[in-house]
Amino acid sequence: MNNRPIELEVTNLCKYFDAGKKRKLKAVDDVSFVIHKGETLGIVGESGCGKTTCGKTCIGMLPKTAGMVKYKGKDVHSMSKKERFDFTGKVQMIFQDPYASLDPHQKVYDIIAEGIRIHKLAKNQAEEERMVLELLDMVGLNAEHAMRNVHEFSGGQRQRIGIARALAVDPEFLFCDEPISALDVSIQAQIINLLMKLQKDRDLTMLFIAHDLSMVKHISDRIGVMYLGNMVELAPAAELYKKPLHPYTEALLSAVPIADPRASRERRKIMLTGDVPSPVNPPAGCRFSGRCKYVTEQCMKVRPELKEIEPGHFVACHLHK
Amino acid sequence: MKNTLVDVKNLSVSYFTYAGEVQSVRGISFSVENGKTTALVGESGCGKSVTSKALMGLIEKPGKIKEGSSIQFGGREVLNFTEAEWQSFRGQECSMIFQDALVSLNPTMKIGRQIAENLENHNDGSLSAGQIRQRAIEMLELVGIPDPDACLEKYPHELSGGMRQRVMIATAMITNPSLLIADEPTTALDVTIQAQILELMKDLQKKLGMGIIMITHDLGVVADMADNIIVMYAGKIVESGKNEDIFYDPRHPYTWALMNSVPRLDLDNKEELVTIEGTIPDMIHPPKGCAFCSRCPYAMNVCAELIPEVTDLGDGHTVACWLNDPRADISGVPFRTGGAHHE
Repeated sequence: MNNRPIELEVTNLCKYFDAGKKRKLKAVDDVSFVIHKGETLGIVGESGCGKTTCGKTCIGMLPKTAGMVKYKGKDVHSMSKKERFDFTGKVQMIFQDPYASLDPHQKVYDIIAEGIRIHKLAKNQAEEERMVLELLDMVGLNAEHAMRNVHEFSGGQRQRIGIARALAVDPEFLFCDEPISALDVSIQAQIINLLMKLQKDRDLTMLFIAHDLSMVKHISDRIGVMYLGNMVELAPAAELYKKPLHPYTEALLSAVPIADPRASRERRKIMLTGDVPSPVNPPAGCRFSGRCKYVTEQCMKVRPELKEIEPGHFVACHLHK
Repeated sequence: MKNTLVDVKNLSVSYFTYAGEVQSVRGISFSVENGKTTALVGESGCGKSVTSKALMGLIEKPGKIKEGSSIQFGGREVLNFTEAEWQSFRGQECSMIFQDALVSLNPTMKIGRQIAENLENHNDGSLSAGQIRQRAIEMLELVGIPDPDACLEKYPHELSGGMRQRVMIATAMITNPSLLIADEPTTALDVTIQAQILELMKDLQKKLGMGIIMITHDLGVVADMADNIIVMYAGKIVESGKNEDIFYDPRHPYTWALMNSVPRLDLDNKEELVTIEGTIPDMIHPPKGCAFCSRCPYAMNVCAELIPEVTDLGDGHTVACWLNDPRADISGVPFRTGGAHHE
């Protein structure tokens, strides 16, 4: 287990959106987890399960509805202006779409230098320049790229610029929201290798959100599985894949295509029937009960709590007590 | 012997833009067998979608299929079709399904009308309106839509992504075409829904026996679905062959790198992923030699100068790479090639 200090602590976090007619869309409902220093926590789940909302609420980009998020012991949602400012210098984000998340009117240099200027990290112009060039080098771009406009770059290069921008303030915590899903396969591997290297070199803590389960497994130490606003399972990466306990995790993993024809043929697939229900009117009891083949009467009525079944392996399912 | 459905020879497609001639597809040849699934694999911009559009006669200005190209479909040359012939060909003999079902279906038209429309267009008068409706219900049942009667009266926005994709497949298959082109059919779907749709496509192929051309960049989907694989790079076919040959015995450095750039869910391995450095070449000025040369870690002098010939490795496995020339020095190449080891 991880003995390092807790970096981010999330307790019973809820985030509801107004869905009109006095209805609430429960995007994140009673989610708890911790992230230790230097660790990567991956969150997986299908679209609409609340993984992005959860991440955004955790770093204070969205106000919470209930619960508590603490970063290094401080409540993220009730910081003073000064605390909030310091927080943004420590916590940074990498976005999904490198085409939408970079200002097309700015030069690459200014995009990267913005954080350095705001947080006054450089003593003078020369130091700022040195820092920007170092950052470019770190993400595999070179000095001549600095004075170019964003539109001159490919998707993979843009994502590198986005990473350089995030690293500019020398953050301790990185929230990556689907950083590779807009990229081609060969480019995805470059970005993942880069992120893993940077994490090792700088001892970064990461919250990594993606729907590509193979990539999440590759980069994460622990993985949380979300379904319809709930965290249904949380375990070390290898353990989750070897021994999924929640029926949803099991089905999700078995549905991921494997790039190996023989392994793919021999594997037992669990087909889920039906679709994910609406988060505006989720099923009472276990959220997965409508699609679960092991469903019992209890599942329909009582929502299972996330419990530690084995050391470090949490699951929210009535099958496991 | 071989039961060939489509035979493409020397297909070249260019787009004439203000910046110059973009050579999207540069002289490719391949065939698709009846009742089999052929996967076209490659990065964005490699020409896989353009190839499928050419098969459907959907290349529009400024695009042009160049002289000397040939596409034989069931023995007929489709590139000589008149517009009327194309009309009867599309949808009846060859159908297409797309990535985004919400964009591809008409939002103002009920599902029942959309499915029936394809059949009505190709109806020679032998089917009555009632029979067409009956056929639409049968198709919806076949693609696994619960309560097909009610579904006919719905609009696309009332259905989920997976259900819409099923409707699109039903629409494509109602005329019982002999070829189905699926352009990234599951990319927009979640994995559990993707698994359902892929299973459905396999099932339909077993029942109806159509050939499938599957365009995708997801190698997992390819491993699961394809009988034959065609790997494209910069408008050319770099390697093609049977599914297992391509996965277990790749002979082209691009194929090899693609196969090793995705982490495996079923294996425990935290090693660095194989990456392909650099970017795809500019197709207005394609490189003189092999297009992959600038990104290839094993490139030799010859690669920059001459386009590699297609080498037939037997059993339908072909590759276009100089490493397979007996004179090539292949020490340090991590996969099997036809070259010689010079110590």
